[in-house]
Formats: sequence, C-alpha cells, structure tokens
Amino acid sequence: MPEDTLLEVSGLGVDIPTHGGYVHAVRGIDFTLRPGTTMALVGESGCGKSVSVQAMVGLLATPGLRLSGSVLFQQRDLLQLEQGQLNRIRGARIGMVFQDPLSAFNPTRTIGSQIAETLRIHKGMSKADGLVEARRLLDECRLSEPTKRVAQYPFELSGGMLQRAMIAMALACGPELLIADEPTTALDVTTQDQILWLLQQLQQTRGMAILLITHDLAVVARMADEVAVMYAGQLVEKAGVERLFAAPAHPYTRALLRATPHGEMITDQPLETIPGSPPDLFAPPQGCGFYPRCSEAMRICRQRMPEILPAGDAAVSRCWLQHPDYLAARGAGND
Amino acid sequence: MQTFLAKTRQAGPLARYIGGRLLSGLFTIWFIATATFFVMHWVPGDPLSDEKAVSAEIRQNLEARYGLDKPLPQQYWIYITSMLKGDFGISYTQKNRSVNDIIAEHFPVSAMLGALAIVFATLGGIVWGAIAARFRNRWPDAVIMFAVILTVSVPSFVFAALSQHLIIKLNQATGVSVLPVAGWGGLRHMLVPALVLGLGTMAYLTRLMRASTLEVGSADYIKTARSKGLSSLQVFLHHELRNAVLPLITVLGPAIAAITTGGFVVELIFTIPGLGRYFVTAVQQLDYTVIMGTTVFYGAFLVLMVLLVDIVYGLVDPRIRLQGRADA
Amino acid sequence: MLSPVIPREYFEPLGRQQSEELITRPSLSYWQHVWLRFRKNRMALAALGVALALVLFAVIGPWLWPVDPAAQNIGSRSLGPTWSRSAEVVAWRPWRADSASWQAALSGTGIDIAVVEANTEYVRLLWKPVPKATRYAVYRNDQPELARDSPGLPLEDIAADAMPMLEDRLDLRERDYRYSIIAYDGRGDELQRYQIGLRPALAISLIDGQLQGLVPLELDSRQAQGLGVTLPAHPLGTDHLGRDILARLMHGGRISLFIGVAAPLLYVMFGALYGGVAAYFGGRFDDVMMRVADFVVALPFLLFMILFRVLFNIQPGESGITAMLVAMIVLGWPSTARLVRGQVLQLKEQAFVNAARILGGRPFYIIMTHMLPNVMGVLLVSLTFAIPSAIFTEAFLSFIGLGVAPPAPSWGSMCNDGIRTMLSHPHELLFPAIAISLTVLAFNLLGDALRDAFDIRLREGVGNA
Ligand SMILES: Nc1ncnc2c1ncn2[C@@H]1O[C@H](COP(=O)(O)OP(=O)(O)OP(=O)(O)O)[C@@H](O)[C@H]1O
Ligand code: SF4
Ligand SMILES: [Mg+2]
Repeated sequence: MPEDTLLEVSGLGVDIPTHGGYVHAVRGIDFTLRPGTTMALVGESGCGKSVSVQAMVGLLATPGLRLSGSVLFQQRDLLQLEQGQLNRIRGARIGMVFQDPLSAFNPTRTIGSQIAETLRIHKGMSKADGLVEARRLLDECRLSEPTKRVAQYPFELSGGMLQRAMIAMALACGPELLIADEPTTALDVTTQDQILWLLQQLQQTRGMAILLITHDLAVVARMADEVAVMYAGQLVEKAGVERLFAAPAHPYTRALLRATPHGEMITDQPLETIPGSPPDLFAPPQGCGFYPRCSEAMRICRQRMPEILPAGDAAVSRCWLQHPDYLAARGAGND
Repeated sequence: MQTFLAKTRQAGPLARYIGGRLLSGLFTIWFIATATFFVMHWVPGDPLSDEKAVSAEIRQNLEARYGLDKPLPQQYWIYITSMLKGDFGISYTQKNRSVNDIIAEHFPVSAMLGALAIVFATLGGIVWGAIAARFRNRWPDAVIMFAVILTVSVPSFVFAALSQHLIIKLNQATGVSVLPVAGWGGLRHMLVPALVLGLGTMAYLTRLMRASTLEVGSADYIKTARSKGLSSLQVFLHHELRNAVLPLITVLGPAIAAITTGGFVVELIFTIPGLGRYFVTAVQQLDYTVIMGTTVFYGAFLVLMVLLVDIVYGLVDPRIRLQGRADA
Repeated sequence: MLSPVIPREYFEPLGRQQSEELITRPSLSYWQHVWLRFRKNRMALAALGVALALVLFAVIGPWLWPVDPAAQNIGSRSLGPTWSRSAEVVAWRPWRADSASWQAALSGTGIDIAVVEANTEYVRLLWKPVPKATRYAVYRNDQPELARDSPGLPLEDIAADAMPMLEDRLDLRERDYRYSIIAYDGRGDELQRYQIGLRPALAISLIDGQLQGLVPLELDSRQAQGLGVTLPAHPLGTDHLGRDILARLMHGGRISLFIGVAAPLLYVMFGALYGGVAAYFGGRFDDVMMRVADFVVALPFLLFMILFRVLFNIQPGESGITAMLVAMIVLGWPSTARLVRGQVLQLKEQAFVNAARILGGRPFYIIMTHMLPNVMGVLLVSLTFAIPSAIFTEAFLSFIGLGVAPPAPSWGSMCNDGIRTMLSHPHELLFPAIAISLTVLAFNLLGDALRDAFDIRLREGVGNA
C-alpha cells in the first residue's frame, strides 16, 4: 500500500439478511482515499451508499450479515479487527456525521454530555473537562453561544445548529477521517451552504480526509477531489472531479449529469430521476445493473457483468463501452 | 436534570398542560359523582327509599344525611357539597359507620399492597424486558416471552388460588409456617399477594420494555453512539436502557388502575382487609351508599394517579415538556 | 479477464423498447402479502386452530355431549374425571343388628372387628365388646397410605352400653379407608384399639338411581336392591353440586365466547366509525370528538358496570349479561377509535382520497370505499386483541359476582365456584381456568401474528384483570 493512502477499500460486498432472503446491498466497491482529501460517493437513493460506509466501520449489526472484501484503514483491515480494537478507532480515528442530526442525538441527554462522552472514553477526560472541551469544540464549529448549548437538549436546537454540534462531536478526538453521510440533505439551502463551508474550513485547519456521501452533484462539485459513482450496490465510475464533470464515461453518470442543471449550479434544484427504477437487489441481474435503463445498452450488457475498466485520466468505469473488444469492434466498424 | 426542572417552574407549556389535565380530571370526577347520584336515584325501586331493607335507625341517619325528604335538586346539592368537603356518606347496611371511616381503615392496606405490587411489576418488567431484548430471538428471549404470554393468558384469580395452594403445600412439606396462607400483618403477609397482584402488569411491562428497548436499539442515535466507539455494554447502559424505560412511565397510570381492580380479587382470595374486598362485599350486598362513596373515591384516586404519572413523565422526559399534548 | 475476443454482434445496440421485458418480481396484493406472512408463522396457524376448536367445542359440543349442565346430582358431587362405571343399587333401611347377628359374625373366629357391609352409600362395622370399656371412639382415615399413624377423622362416640356397631354414611368414595375404634375406660384411658381397612363398593341409592332414570320408577326397594346399573361418565368430573363439568364447560363456553366476541365486535365497530368520522372531518370537530374519547377512557369500568346493573334493575345474584355487554361497549370503544383515527389521518394525506374528494364523492362514500379497506388490518388486529380482554372481563366480573350467576354456567362463574373447593377438588377450578387460558392464549397469539402479518404497530392497553 502506498504511503499516502489513508483508506483502501477493495472488493467490499454486503449481504443483508431479511425475511425474504438476502439483500445484496453492496456488490463490489473499490477505492482509495489519500489523507486530507475529499472523496464524494454519489448515487441515487437506495444504491447502497450508507450501507457501504457503515459496513466499513462495522456499524451494521444485523445478525447473519455477510461481509466480504477488505477495508484497510492506516494499514489495518477494519473488517478483521476485534470489537474492542474497532471501538478504539471509531470516534477517535474515524468520526461520523449522519443525515438527520435531530435523530442522531440522544434526545434525553444534553449536547454537552454527548460530546463529552466521546472524550471520556477515548481520552479519559473527566466529565467536567469533557464539558469544557465540548464547549471549545462547539465554538470551533462556530455554534453561537456554546456555553449555553452545552447544557441544552437536542430538541432545543435547530437542524443547522445540531449539525454543527454533530460535526463537533465527530471531530472531538481529532480523527484522520470524517465520514459524512448526507450531512446537508436534511437542511435548508442557506444552512447547507454554511455547513459545507464549515467542513471546508475544518478540513483546512485540521487536515482530515472526508468521505462525503451525497446525491447532490452541486455538493460534489464544490467539495470533492475525487468522485465515486454508485449504482445498484456497485461502483460504476470513479474519477477526479474535473474529469467526471467534463467527460463522464459511464452512461449512468452521464444520465445523472443530464438530469442536473448545467452552467450555474443551482443547489436547491432537486436531482431529477432517470426513467425506470434500479434492479431488485434480492436477485441482482447477471448483467449490467443499468441495462434496462441504459440508452446505449447492447446485447452483451444483459448477459454479462461489465468489469471495472480504465477510462482514461486515472478514471475507471464499469461499462462495456470501455471494453477493449468493444472499442476494437467499433474501430473496425468505422473503417 | 436540575436545569430542566428549573425551567419547568417558569410556567410554560407544561404548566398549561398540567392545568388542562387537572381541569379535565376534575370534570371526570364530577361526572362520575353525578352519574352515580342519578343512577342511584332513578332506578326502579329507588334504593334510598326502599324501606324494607333498612333498619329504622339507619333509615333516620340516611334521611338526615342525604336529605331524602327534600326535592331532588336539593338532595343533589347536599350530595355534591358534602363530597367536595370530603364526606363520602354513611353505610347502608352497617350502623353508624361512615364511608370515610371505611376508607380510612381499609384503603391504607390496599394502597400498601398495590404499591408493593407496582414495585414488583416495574422492576420485574424492566429487568425481564431488557434481558429479552438484549437476547433477541435467542433462547432467553423465547423463554421470557413465552412466560409473558402465559401470564397474560391466565386470570389473576387462578394465580392467586394457585399460589395459595402452593403456600399450603410448602408449609405442609416443611412443617413450619414459611409464609402465611392468608390474612394481614407484616411484610410476610404482603409478599405473595403483591407478587400475584403485580404479575399481569409485570408481564405487560416486560413486553413493553422489550419492544421499547428494541425500538430504541434501532434508533439513529444508537448508531451514533456506536460510531463514537462506545462498547455495546456502554451503549446499552447509557443510551438504550435509559431511553427505553421512559415510555414505561406513560403506562403506569393504566397499570395502577389495573392493579387497583386486580386488588379486589387478590384481597378476596387472601382475605386481606383492604378497601377492594370491602368494595366487592358492598357490591354483593348492594350497600348503595358505600358503593357510591367508594366508587367516587376510587374514581378520584385513579384520575389523580393517571394525572400524576403524566406530570412525572413530563418532568422526566425533556421532549414532552415543549410538546404539550402528544397524540397516540 | 475475458480471453477470447467478444464477437461484434454482442455489441449491437438495443433500443430502449427492447429492454422493457425486464420486470422484476411478480407484485403481490396487500392481502396476499398478509396471508403469506401469516401462513409462514406456525404458531399463528396453531393458535387459529385452537381458537376454531374452542368455538366448535362450545357451538356443537352440546349436541355431541347432550348432558344437562344444570342437572344436580347429590350422589356424585365433586367427582374427579370418570368413565362410565357399573354400580349396585342399594336401598338404605335403618340398621338393626341384634346380638345374634354379630355373635354369628364374630363368634369363634377370633376376629375382633367385622365389616358387615361396605358400599359407597354406607359402611357397617361390628366389633367385639371390650370389657370395662365405657365408650368407643370411632375414627376414619381417608388416606391410610399417606398418613399411616393418624386415626383420621373422628366419626362418632359410642357409649359402651349401646350395641358396639357403627354405620358410616359420610361422603363415601370408592377408595381405601381405615377405620379405628378406640375403647376407653371411665378414667379416659385407652384400653384397646381395633383397626380395619376396607374399600367400599360403588353403589347408588335407589332414589338417586330413579332420579337419574337409571332405575325404573315402579321398582320398590326390595326389588331394586342389588340391581346392577351403569353410572354416567363424567370425562372432566363433576362440580360441588354433582353437575357434569364437561357439559358446563360447553354451555359456559357459549356464554363466555358470546360475550367475548360480541362485545369487542360491537365496540370495535363503533370505535372505528367514531375514529373514522373524527379524522375524516378533522379540525375542531376532531378535537372535540377526541376529547370525548379521552374522557371516556378515564371513566372507571367497574363503577359503570355497577351502575348499569342498577339501571337494568339486576339484583345481586342475578345474571347481568346485558349490563355487562352494555358496560363493555360503552367504555371499550375509545382505543379503537384512536387507532382508526390515526390511520385515517395518514390516509387522508394520500392522493387517492383527495382525488376522490375532488371528484365529488360524498364523505360517507369515501370513508366506506377508500378508507375502510385500508383500516381493515388495524380493525382485525384490535378485534383479535379485544377478545381475550373481554373474556377476562367476563371472568373477573363473574368472579366478583357482577357477571353471570348460577345456575347459568360461564367459564368465569365456574372458576368462581371452583375456587371454593380448590383445596380438596382442584379439578373444579382447573378445567374452566384452562378453558379461559387456552382461549385467551390462542387469541393473543393470533393477534400477535396478525399484527406482524399486517405489520401494524399498536399501543395496547393494560387489560389484565
Ligand atoms: N437493514 C436492512 N435490511 C434490509 N435491507 C436493507 C437494510 N438496510 C439497507 N437495506 C437495503 O440496502 C439498499 C441500500 O440502502 P442504503 O441505505 O445504503 O441506500 P443509500 O444509497 O444510502 O440511499 P439514501 O440516499 O436513501 O440514503 C437499499 O436497497 C435498502 O433497501
Ligand atoms: S454496460 Fe451496457 S447497459 Fe451497462 S451502462 Fe454500459 S452500456 Fe449501459
Ligand atoms: Mg443513506
């Protein structure tokens, strides 16, 4: 593993048991994240973004869960760690921020005590010291009147304020990686903007890497260094952010971009949906998952799963259009 | 905890909520009293004017006390005002015994028994429910839930009779009186009856505690707590348990009502001199004035208990304070 | 890697239309889903079977077992479960043993005590007079195998100047007894102790035999004496008045199940209508209606139960089934009303109801056609949970004397009877208690299964009396 790699995910697969059998929620994710950079994970709702990041840090607890692949964080495979070792990493080396800050805080405990709890278990702080540090963290996250906030309950704060507190809590122990699962989806536009700005500021001052989940391409354009596009539990394209917007390789990415307003990125415009719906993850198709909705689908797409293939400029794409044989065939046809 | 207690004192939505509840509670009590009054007077063969059942002496007492010779509205006025003064009337079958005397003598016994039953039920419910949830779908869960469903399927008088039978057998087997079979005295007399009395509620609370623990377990903030690196035991103790117990408070009101009613049966079987047993006797003998007085007393007691439980919940759960009346 | 080169034709583009065929799993209707989930639950199927069996037991049982549940039979009180047995008819006549007859029985045998006759109608004993004795105390040990040393129950004190003989007619059963006769002198010292064990033969008195139609009425005592008859079977035994418990359970089941099903059915229906209407109209109307529901919840059930009994002029000791039903219905509906209201409020948000309203459907029509089918699940589940609670209520009320009263049987009143004899004859409590528990268990399990199948979350009340 190269020195400058913080996180390397390879071949991650997640099967979730349900009454009706296994949901093959994640079917192969590979990417690497360098320290201090931001990777955006995008894809439409239900494509497995949350499941994959939660599986990476061992947050999925369903009995009978099947995990495959490896998740190397600072040279250690998180999927192989014992619970105790994992607990020492979670909250300390990896902080997490969730979508809905109101439900992510325990409603019956004060903000301060919840932040202090993280400090107490990882840094052995006393309760009082923890509260002082919590106040400082809230201040760092630009929450107004931090002294008062420490003693308040979650329901007394607005969504934006809570998300700041959530970020403060995730960063309490100075983690190298912040995983933010749609941190702004539940917020209004102005607040979204402030939270994103805060994240950028914090990344500059603290230098942590961010794994940012979103389905808002505007957010991607603003925050990310690299982008991974997910579809139906698979990574379908990964590229640098400029390359992705300039020359998307995968038909799904292209459809996503077509469904987003061009030119000036207007953040409050919802992402339009692509006709059709994603495949049933109980019984994933044997071919390309995007086949029924793809305007460029070919006969082979239905029968055989395309592999991740280089698509130029360090980008990769999971599509037959990138296959050398296809390129050769097309080349021959053009002759 | 102190901070929000302090905050509730500045009359906010909670104060208004409590005020509203108090008002509707008083209305309920008034309605119960009035309904009792009119039903007792308008039945064919008005029990209060039925001469043959009552001795002359009691008759005189009754007439003086209820103003039976006066017109109905006046009688109603006398009845309501004396109720307001806390005077529940006099017995119809027992000479010179007022309902207040009866309540004063027998209610403390019922209250003690009921309180112990509530303690048993709540502690048992929390412990069993938490265990069942923690071992969800494994054998401890299966055993506990089977016991629960069995318990809620057997009438409480069967448990009472059964436990009495067991005590007798136990005493016979050991040759000494390990536990009293019936009657009233110290804690030893209360133990088994209170356990039997609390059993149904315990089963119900166990089920509720399990459901509530599971629900809390799937809440987002539990995921947050785990993402912070808390061990599963820390998550359970500091986040799950605490929040799962809260909803149990809301059903303590109905639970108290159920235990009060259950007390009638248990007191009867274990011959405990509580108000419940007295009440059943009065019902069986149609001692109308005792029925009237005692039911209004019970009605007021239950309304107050439910109100009290709601207020306690409002104080304990910071979420409720601002919400006011939450819909089921 | 794909080593062989993929043929060109595989890369032929397809039009959008061609990929339409790809539709995933067949979609099932809501009710099919429910049924599928329900059927998977073995416990639920078993519970359904038990519930149906209990209903059949009560409904067609009395035809299959045509025994009068109210027929008392002093001769066979508190019997344990028995099959039909043959017995001898005995006609009791006063026993006058003269000295000659006991001389005949005892003389020269060396025996001190003799059994003259032993059947379940009477036991007759004779013994040799003890010299200097002033009185004989006679005891009977009913459980000789358990309490070996105890003389048992004192039966009689007989002065020595009377004939040394005893006739015992006290609740005799077909089982082993041991009689002890202790002779005392004037100072009260024990002189002699005779003991004898015996097992009375099953017998039935002439009167009982004739009352039960086992012995022709025209026979007189002399003709009937010694006649062999077959006593009726009591598969679950008899109660303290000799009534057949199986027949009583069947007839009692009719009453208990009737109350247990009728009351919930009515109040769930009323509650659904009430909650539906409140939610449908919403606003202040809804507020007021729910206030009323909250108010009714706060009313103490037992008080109103008593009031309704008084109102219907039911005397103590009389059955008050109507009063019971009315009280349960009047006070039972609010929980269903709340549930249905919640559901309808949710549905109201949904587009299709709005569409129906915009198209000008009348409120009642909309409720019936659009909302009712959607709340059926909730209704079914709350009905299933209401049944056990109603059965409990009936049992509780009958137990404290406010429900079904004798001679009409109900499971509750049978338990009430059974508790009195619980220590000596536990089966009288056991069988009705099992009937109640089995029914309640079955409906509780059924309710759980239906709730899971419909995927509904309910707030149940504390309903265990
Ligand atoms: N506990 C679970 N049991 C069964 N299926 C699950 C479970 N959790 C997730 N899934 C399934 O896994 C798939 C991926 O879900 P996931 O939450 O990761 O989507 P997502 O990409 O995060 O979507 P969103 O943008 O809505 O958050 C979905 O199809 C979902 O139905
Ligand atoms: S593999 Fe085929 S169906 Fe899939 S995205 Fe590429 S072209 Fe479309
Ligand atoms: Mg998600």
